[in-house]
Amino acid sequence: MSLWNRQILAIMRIDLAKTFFARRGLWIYLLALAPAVPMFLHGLFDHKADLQGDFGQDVQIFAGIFQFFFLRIAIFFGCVGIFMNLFRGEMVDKSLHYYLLGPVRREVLVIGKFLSGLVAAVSIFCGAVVVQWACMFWHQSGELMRSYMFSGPGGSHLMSYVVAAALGCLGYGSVFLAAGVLFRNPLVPAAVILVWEGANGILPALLKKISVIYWLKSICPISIPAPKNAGNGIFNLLIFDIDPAPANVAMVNLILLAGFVVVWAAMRARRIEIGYGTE
Amino acid sequence: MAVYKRTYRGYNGPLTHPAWRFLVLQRYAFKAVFKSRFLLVGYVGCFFAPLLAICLLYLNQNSSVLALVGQKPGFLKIDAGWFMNFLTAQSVLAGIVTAFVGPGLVAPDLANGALPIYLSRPFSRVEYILGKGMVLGSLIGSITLLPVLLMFVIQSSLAGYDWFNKNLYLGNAIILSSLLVMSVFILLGLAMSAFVRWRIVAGALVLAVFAAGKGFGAVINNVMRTSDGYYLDLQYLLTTAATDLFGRTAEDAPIAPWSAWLAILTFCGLLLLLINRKLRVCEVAG
Repeated sequence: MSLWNRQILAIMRIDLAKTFFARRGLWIYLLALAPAVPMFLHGLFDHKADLQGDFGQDVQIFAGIFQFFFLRIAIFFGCVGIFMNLFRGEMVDKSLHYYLLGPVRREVLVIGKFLSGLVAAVSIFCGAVVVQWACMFWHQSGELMRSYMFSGPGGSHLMSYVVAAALGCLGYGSVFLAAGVLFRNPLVPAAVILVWEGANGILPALLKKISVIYWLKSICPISIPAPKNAGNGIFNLLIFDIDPAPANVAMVNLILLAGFVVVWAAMRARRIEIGYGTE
Repeated sequence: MAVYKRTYRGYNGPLTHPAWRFLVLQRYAFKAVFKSRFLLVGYVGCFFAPLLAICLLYLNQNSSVLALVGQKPGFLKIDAGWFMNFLTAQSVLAGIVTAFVGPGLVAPDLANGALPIYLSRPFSRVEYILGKGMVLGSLIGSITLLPVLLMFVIQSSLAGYDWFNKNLYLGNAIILSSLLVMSVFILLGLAMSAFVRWRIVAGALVLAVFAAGKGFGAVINNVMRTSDGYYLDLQYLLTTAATDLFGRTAEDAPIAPWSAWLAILTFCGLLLLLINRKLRVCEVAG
C-alpha cells in the first residue's frame, strides 16, 4: 500500500471514532432517526385498530418525508454538523496543529478527513433510510410486502432512496467540507446554501442545476406534487416540484460536483493557517 | 534594596446604579457584535425593505405623484394583512440575525471560563442574562418592532385620524407580535449558545430549530394523519399567535390560537430552564 493510502487510512481511523462516538454528534443520530418514531407509531396504531391502512398512501407519504424532511433538512443539517466539524471542530478543540505538524500533505489530510466524514454520514443516513422503511411498512402483511419488494417496484425504490441519501451526503459533504476549509465562520455559506437549495423549485431551469437538491430529487423514484393547502411561510418553498433529470445523469453530475469541490478544497487547504485565538 | 509596602485600594470612581448594571454588559457586547463588517452590512440591509415600504406608503397617498403614473390614491390596500406580512418578512431577517449574533454572546464566556469573572462582581446571573439578552432584544426590536410601528404611524398620519381610530388594534398587534418574536428569539439564541458552546454549531442550531421543527411537524402530520405536528413547528405557532392578534384567524385553522400561545409559552419555559441549567458557576465548598 502506498504512503498516501496508509496516511489516508490513519486519518480516517482517528476521525471515524470522533465522528461516530462524539457526544457533540449525538443530535445527528436523532435527526436521522426522528422520522422513524412517528412511522413506527403509525404502524402500531393501525395494527392495534386492526387496519392495514392504505398501502399506496403510505408509499406516497414515505416519498414525501424523504424528499421534504430527510434530503432537505436531515441530511443537509447532518452534513453541516459532520463535515464542518472536520476542520472547524479541530480548530475549536485546538488540535488541528497535530495534523499540520505531521509529515502529511495537506491534500492527503483533506481527502482523509472527507472520506471519514463521508463514511460516517453514509452509514448514519443510509442506515436511517432502511430503518425508516422498516418502520413505515412493518405493519403491512408479509405477503403484500414480499410481492412489493421482490415482484413489484419496492426493492428498486428502496435502493433509489439509499443511493439518493448516499449521494446527498457526498454532495452536501463536499460543499460543507470546502466551506469549513475556506471560511472562518462556515455558518455564512451554510445559510446561503440553505436559502439557495430551498428556493431551487422557483429558480430558472439553468440555475436549478447549480444545486445539489435538483440532482437528488431526480434520483428519487416518486415525484411529490406540491400540496394544495400548504399554508404560508418561506418554508413552503421547499415543497415546490421540479422537472427531473435522468437518474444516471444526476448521479454522474453529483459525483463530478463532489470531486471538483473536494479537489478545490484540497488545493486551498495548502493555505490553511491556524489562529486558535481568533476562533 | 528597599522593599516598599504595596497596598491595594478599592475602586473609588462612580458606580452604575444597580438597576442599570446589565446595560454595561450590553454596551460592551454591542461593540463586539459590530466589529464584524459582514454583520454590520447585513444589519443595515435589514432596513432596506422598510424604507421602500415607507416610500410606498407615502406614494400611496400622494395624488399628484400617482396621477403621473395613472393611479388613484389608495391603490395599495393598507390593512392587517399588509402589516402582518411585513412583520413576518422582518421576523425572518431577525431570525437570521439571531443565528449570527446569539451564539457569540454566551458561548465564548462559557468556553473560556469567563462566567465566574462576571459573577464575582456585584452582578447577578439574572443581570448577566438580561444584559446579553438586551443585545439581541435591541437588534431584533430595531428590525421588527420599530420599522413596522413607524409604518403604522406614518400611515396614520397620511390617512388621517379616522383610519388611526379604526385600526388602533393594529398598533397593539404590531407591538405584541414583535415582543413575542423578540422573547422567543432572545431565549432561543441564548439557550443554543449556552447549550452548544461552539458558535458555529449554535448558530446552525438556531436555524435548525425552525427548519427541523417544521419538517418533523410535517412528518408527524402526514404519517399520523393528525394536525398535532404543528405544535413542533415554531414558525407556524408564532404565525398563528400573530394572526390571532391581527384578527385574521381562519375558521378552519388546524390549531387554536390559545393552544399556539400555550405551546410557545411552554417552549419559552423549556429554553429558560436550559439557560438556567447551563449558566451556572461551580461553588467551591470551604
